[in-house]
Amino acid sequence: MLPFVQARERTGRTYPAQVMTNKNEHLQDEAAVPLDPRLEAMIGAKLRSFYDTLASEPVPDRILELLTQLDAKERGSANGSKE
Amino acid sequence: MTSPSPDFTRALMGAAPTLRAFAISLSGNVDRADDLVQDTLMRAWANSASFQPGTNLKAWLFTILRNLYTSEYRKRRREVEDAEGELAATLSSPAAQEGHLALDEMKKALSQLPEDQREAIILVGASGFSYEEAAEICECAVGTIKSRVNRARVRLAGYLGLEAEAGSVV
Repeated sequence: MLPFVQARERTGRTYPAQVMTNKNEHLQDEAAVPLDPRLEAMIGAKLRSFYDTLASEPVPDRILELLTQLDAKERGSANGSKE
Repeated sequence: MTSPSPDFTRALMGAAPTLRAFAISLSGNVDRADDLVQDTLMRAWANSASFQPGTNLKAWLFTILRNLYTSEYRKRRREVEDAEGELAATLSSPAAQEGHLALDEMKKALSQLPEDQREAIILVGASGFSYEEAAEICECAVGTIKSRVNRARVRLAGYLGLEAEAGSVV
């Protein structure tokens, strides 16, 4: 499919925008069921709200402390080697 | 071996909350998610040299977490089946607190999706990645991600009873 499109483009001829759009739609995804845009918006809003709530929760201290400790150890040994 | 700069470590810490949201959304289990985030950050810290400055740190971290989760998921698939059944039962309890209802509802709906659709819809619909970025993270074609996201939306609409809600608006 794609090589055929490219071959046509290489001839330098132009095609109406609508024809190209329809062709791209066909190439993209023939299996998906089209969803009502309002439904799509509702799902999007619910998902983001769910995710943002999770992302606003504090990360357990033990996880951040591990990183701090790794960094401190690394800097400590680097300083030590210089001295 | 080059050790990461303090800036890099700070950037890792800054990404921790969104990584954790991704891990909870994927696994549906907070304890497992915290372990995943910790493993991801440790691995990222130890492999900081393989991160190319100027590229997307968030996408790099999500790729590490997603790979850890996927390999672990395959290993643990059978043993966790019972535990997941218990979780679903807890979540469908009518005694669930009002404030947590929407969260639990979405967590349960996500847990019902096939693994590949779940990661696709979370990355694109919640984490804010483009289809192209999500395709790189999941190591598949952009068209595959688009198809998975579409299928996931249709299923989620059904699980959450949104078709009826949208219909009543008309």
